Amino acid sequence: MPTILAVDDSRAVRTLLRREVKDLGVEVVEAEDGLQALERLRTSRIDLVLLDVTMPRMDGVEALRAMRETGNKTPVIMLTSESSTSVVDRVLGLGVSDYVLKPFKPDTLKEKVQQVLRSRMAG
Amino acid sequence: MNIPSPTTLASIFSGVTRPMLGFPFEVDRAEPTPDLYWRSGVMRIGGATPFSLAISSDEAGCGALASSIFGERATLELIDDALRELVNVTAGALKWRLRIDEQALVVPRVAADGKPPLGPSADTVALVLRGRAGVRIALSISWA
Repeated sequence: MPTILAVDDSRAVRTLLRREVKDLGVEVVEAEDGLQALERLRTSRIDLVLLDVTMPRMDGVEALRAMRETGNKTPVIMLTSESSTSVVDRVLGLGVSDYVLKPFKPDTLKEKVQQVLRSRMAG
Repeated sequence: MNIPSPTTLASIFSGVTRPMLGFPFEVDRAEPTPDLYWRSGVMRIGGATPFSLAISSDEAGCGALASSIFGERATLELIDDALRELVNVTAGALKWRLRIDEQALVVPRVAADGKPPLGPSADTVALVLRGRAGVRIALSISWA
């Protein structure tokens, strides 16, 4: 069963993410910020990271940068309420698989998650 | 910067609440009453077009908002989390609608002192929105 790491400082968002992907046959583990996410990635096998941008302690952009600098190539879908082109350009430049604007539409999120997991399993 | 009409603000907020809470809001013509400021999620964004946004409700309303997301009885922790995320996503939607592109969102906070979170100011607009089962929220915006 593929494992998704849901990273968001908001328990509300983690709850909604878990609810939206529950029928995809995946396991969901959680982290509250970038630092917790990096620790999870060090200690667990993760197939996909759903990563919020704006978080305290370590935000999603810093976490993504740290992942890539240490050679971690786990696929990442960024989640953000931020439509600012500079933020979107920054995360795309760091090699994310996709990004989803909040509030996410359930079908859009599921479709993107399935697409990334299919590529991961095929590769 | 012109503040959008109440109907437009209700539409922006409903665009957030439909997927998050499962129901929309519409404009209630009443003025916000003090009880609606029981608890507020607040975000202040600086930069070239500074603005502040707050979403407040009374105790029953806050409980209903949080319960709609979490599917369980709301605790203060869950209420604060729900208010922070609602204001965060609404601020993003407002920025997108108003084409404010140069400023990034910040981590929101919760105000729990029972007072209007943006304070009295000529630049502040507060309106009441009504959702399912009589849930009322105060949405406040200031361009100062």
